[in-house]
Amino acid sequence: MRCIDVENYPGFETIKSAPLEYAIGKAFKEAEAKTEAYEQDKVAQAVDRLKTEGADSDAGVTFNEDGTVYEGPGYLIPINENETTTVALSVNNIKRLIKRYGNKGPYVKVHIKKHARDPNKPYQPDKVTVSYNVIVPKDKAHLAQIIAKVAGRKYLINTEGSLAINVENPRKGITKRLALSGARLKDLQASLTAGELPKFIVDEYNKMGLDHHINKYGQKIAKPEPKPKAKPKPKPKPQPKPKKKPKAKPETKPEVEPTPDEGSTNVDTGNDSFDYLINNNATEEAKKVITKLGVPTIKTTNRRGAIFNPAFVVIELAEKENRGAEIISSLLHEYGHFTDYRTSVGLDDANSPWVTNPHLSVAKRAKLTFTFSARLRAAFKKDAENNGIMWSGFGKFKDAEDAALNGADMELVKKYDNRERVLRGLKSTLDSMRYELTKARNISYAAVGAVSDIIDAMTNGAFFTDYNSAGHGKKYYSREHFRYMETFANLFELWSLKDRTLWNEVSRLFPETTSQFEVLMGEVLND
Amino acid sequence: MIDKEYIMKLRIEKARWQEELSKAPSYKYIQAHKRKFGKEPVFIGRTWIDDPENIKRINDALIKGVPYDEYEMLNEEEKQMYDEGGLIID
Repeated sequence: MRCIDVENYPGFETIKSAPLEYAIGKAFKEAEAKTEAYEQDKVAQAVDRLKTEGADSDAGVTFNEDGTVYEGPGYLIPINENETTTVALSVNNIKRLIKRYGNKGPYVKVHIKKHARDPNKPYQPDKVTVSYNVIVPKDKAHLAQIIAKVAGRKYLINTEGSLAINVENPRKGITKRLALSGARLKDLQASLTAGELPKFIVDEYNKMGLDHHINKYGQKIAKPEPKPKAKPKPKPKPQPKPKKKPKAKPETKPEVEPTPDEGSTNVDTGNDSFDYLINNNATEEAKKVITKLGVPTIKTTNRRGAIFNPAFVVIELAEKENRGAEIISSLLHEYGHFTDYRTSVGLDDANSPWVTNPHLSVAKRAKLTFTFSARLRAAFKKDAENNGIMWSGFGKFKDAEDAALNGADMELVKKYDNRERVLRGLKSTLDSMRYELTKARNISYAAVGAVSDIIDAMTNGAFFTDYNSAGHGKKYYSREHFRYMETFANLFELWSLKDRTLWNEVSRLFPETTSQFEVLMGEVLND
Repeated sequence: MIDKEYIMKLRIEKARWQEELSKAPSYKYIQAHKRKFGKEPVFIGRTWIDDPENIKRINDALIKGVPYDEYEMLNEEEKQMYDEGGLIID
């Protein structure tokens, strides 16, 4: 609030008064309104009109790229919006915004919307939302709804009367909105001009798991039939080239029949969207392992995260609230637990300790089930020690300072100190990695959590609890067998991803464990 | 013999690290949870606390006045299996 000096008013030389401020502001504006420049300034006039709207009024104004007021019909899809108040609304700022977004094309408009006051609140400033938007012609209202729905926008604005219209069924549980900038914005503008939806919107919509798909005109079409069960497409082997090129004989048959292993493997989990994610993002080897070991029951639930229940050999996955990256990460991770279980008990369920030793407690049966090969366990410990984050006898002291104050020799103190530095460095590396992969819209970004969780397992949960990194935490990893079980699943998740960024990183950090894991998977494949 | 200078250096680094951690987006929500319910929110699956979805969950718990505890969200059978180490939660 501004301070206004009132001269010759003893005791009230400086007062703070909203009504007085308003009156003076109004007088200034009236004086300004009389000037010729003001007459020409359409932005200033429109902004002032909004400022002087009544408290109960819901009003808005849309600007063209040249600063004139857009008066045609249409629907605005917000790309970016900021909330402010009528008092703080500045004509110059609006002009700057119009100038900044003016070069983005005729389909991008700056919009100011003044909201009606809440009658239940005694005093409040008039709220204003300043946004820049994509405008969709009025006769393409259905396209506007689809774009807004896919992009995660909760409302559209009808330019006639600046009415906010709720978007039907916005993407539930998705907090991050689909970015509409740069190339996408251009694509959107070109498609809208042609009266179509851009390809990225159609693709995203069709991935939303609804009971129908749409085409580029926004018309509902039937979902494509699920892919046939894992029957590898035989790839004809190229015939060896003879030294002298004979004339082609149409009746010549290939000398060698193609073997089924030569084609691409297709995983069939019984869920189309899971199949799509695995078949497009997993390596051939991983798909072969998954196909070879069979498919557990996969249930989708509404709760957070995922569960592998070895008692019933069931994976529970929160499908709806996650994006593709989180689903593929969770799915491959749970398959990792399943692979661990399967490789431990063999392919015959009758050999499972869950069946053969029903008298044992659940915990004992779980420990028996997940053996986590002794070779892998040794490699895991060696990598932890080589990185200086865990060693035999660790835990006597809380940290380097505690070790120094309690009589530890300098070598051990420095070991603790080094561990802290290594873990801080790893946290920082993984945070930037996650940021970069998310920014690049790389589907592996959620799997950064797997790398972090391996470190968390190595540090018995300290990486999550004390270093604010992804993982399970001290309470979970207080049980030793969980450290190995989770590491196996995390390794499987990273090893399976077609994008090798994270597997390369984890191989650099933990060369012993990853090479042993590769050997183990080779054994599964060649068994 | 305790090297006072070295210990001072360790303390400074520790304080810097704590300051760094306090800048995390989830920090103030976790602190508010601690103040309100006397304990940190409980996550049992693999997660990243700074995930906006987790922050939203802690915030919702603060608004509802019910501590955020994923263990309490399991049913009795699942709790027993989890306690015994037979249920793997991610």
